[in-house]
Amino acid sequence: MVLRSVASRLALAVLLGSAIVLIVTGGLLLTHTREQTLRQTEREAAAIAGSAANRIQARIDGVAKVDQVLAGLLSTRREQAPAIIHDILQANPEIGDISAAFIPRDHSALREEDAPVARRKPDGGIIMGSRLSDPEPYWSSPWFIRGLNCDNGCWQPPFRSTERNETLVGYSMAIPGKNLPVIGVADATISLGWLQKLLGELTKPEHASAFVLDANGEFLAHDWESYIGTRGSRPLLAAVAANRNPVRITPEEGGRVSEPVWIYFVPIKGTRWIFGLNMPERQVLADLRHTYMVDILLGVLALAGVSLITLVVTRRLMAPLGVLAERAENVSRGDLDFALPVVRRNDEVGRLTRAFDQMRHQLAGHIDTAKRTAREQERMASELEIARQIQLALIPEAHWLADDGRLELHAALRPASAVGGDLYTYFALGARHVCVMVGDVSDKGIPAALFMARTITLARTIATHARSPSDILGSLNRELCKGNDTCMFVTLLCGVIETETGLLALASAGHEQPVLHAGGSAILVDVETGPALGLDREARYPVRVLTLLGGDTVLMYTDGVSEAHAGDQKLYGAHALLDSVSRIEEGATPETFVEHVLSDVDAYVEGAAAYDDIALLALTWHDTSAEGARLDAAVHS
Amino acid sequence: MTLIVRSESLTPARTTVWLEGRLDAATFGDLDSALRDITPMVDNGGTLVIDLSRLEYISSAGLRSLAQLRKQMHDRDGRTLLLNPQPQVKKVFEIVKAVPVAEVFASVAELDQYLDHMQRQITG
Repeated sequence: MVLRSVASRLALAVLLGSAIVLIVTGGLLLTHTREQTLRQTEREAAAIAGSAANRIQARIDGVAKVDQVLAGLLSTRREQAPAIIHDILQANPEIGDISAAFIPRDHSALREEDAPVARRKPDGGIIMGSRLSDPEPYWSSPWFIRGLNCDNGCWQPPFRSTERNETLVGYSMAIPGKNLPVIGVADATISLGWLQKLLGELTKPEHASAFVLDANGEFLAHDWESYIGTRGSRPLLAAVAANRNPVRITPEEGGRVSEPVWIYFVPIKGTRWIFGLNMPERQVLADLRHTYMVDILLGVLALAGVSLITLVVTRRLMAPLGVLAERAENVSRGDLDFALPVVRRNDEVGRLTRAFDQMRHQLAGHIDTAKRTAREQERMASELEIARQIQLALIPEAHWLADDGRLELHAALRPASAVGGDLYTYFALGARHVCVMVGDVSDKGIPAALFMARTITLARTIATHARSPSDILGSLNRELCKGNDTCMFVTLLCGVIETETGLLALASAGHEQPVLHAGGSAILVDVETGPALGLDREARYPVRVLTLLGGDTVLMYTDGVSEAHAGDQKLYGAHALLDSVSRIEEGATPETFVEHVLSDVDAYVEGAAAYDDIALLALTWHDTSAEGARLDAAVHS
Repeated sequence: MTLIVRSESLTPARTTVWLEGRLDAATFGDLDSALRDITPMVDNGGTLVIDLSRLEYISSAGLRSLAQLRKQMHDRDGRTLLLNPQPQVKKVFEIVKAVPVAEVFASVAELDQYLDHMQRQITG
């Protein structure tokens, strides 16, 4: 998959991110540009409309001035009226006709001179006539009445001349008299054809159309000629009335347009006319849309370019990483012998490559060390195994039955690790005595095992000449104290039994009290202890003597039994041990005792690894002779 | 379970070390290394008091450590006195006798009395 590569993912992320940015900024830009464009168009339209309005105003101002001059002239030269209007019409080609209508002096004797009119013919010539020939009496027609009231001149509503087939508009001004305020009306009429022509000559944006609206809301002129003389649409007139400029008009609102348009209008001074410019919105925004499309296209191109550059640059930057990734896979397969790309850069990739190289070398070093250590450990383990066998060779057989069948022993030794510091031993002292020992060296492991070997060897040598456990412990203690700077010590319970009588002398060097199983119950035998062997040269060890009866069993053990526990469990304890022993039937073999106690201890720790070495020795005296009284005495040496 | 060792040297002649937790084959190394820093601060002939009131368990390996400490102090004419062991720990001391029972005290008062007595013996 392409997207596995970081470079492709980065390029894609850049593309997506930029696209989002582009869309958002594009949207904002579009809104902003739309407003800008509308404002720009508004300014342009206002300029066009303003200039058009000025041009129209200049034209009609000229007409108004002519009429005002005419009114002034006629106030004193009524008689010369026909000649004056003829000459003025001749001098002002833009004017269509000029009337000088006076209030008739006598309605019964109307005179042609009361209302002369000069008309321009289509060929340019001037023809003189009279208003008396109007279809209705001029003195009572609306234009005349309106004109009498226009002291300062005013524009008449446009009207349609059927004979000339054009729309005309007249400017009227009252003629002041010498004695009367008003004696008549001077009226100059112009054709609105020039207005229509002017609209067509305007420099307008493409698709824009111009119009002039009169005070009644009718089009005086319009680029769309069929609209001339018709009323403007309701929304347009409402906007003009409210002076909402510019105004957007849509067909849905009742506008007389086929699509939404913007209309910009300007009132023409001196008249009540409105000049308007109509621009279809689509056209206004066409440029904008085009510009926007170009921008978007350029943006997309830029995006593609940026993504491509990102892809290429990232690929180049990441190329060493790809190699590193492959090499890391090599490392995970255990292959550390490979070439790394030479990277001189000091950036993250360079640092990573160098660190990776260093790591590889260190790892190789660690693996070498680990291999050496493993070999070392293997050697240690085999040495320990040999040591263990040597240690086991130091202790006698687990089971022993005296020749006369009176004394039976069974023992077990279970070091917590390969070798341990617990010990048991037994040996004959002459023909009638047997010495038994159970001991526990402080600490565990190899130092304890060596001290145990020393103890067990010394014990056999020393005990040969002694008959009292007190003497044996005393001599052994003095030997073990020699050169014992590390203060290793061994607790030892030593018993010497007279095989014929069952007389058992016990001495303890700081060791656990033995258990006596007699007559179906188990008790701890209270042996006063001396210091553990190896610490105090002057130590003395009191002797306690028991007389065993037939079937009695003495159990000697180390704290691996009495203090057995797993984790934070409570110690097994002497009570549990007594309980365990008391449940053994009378007459059981020492082997049964040992196995029973061990299995109870194992059950207690629930199979957890032994915390301490265990040594356990059971001694049973079988008396085949008559029942003797139990003799119990403590002899202090 | 671990062993915590704290010490306080009020005077060069007497330093007290508090042991808390278990002193066994797994932790006696901690005690040995801690004491290697503490014992040189005790004057020759000084007294090192080991407060055992918060020691919950001691194994033979721990006893060996204490015995070795006592021997080292003894070689410098110093004394190592044990203070206020809990019953189960006290019992171990009594059975194994790795240190003389006479050097185990139930309280500070008893210990001070012993030290007073020893000083009187020397000066007197």
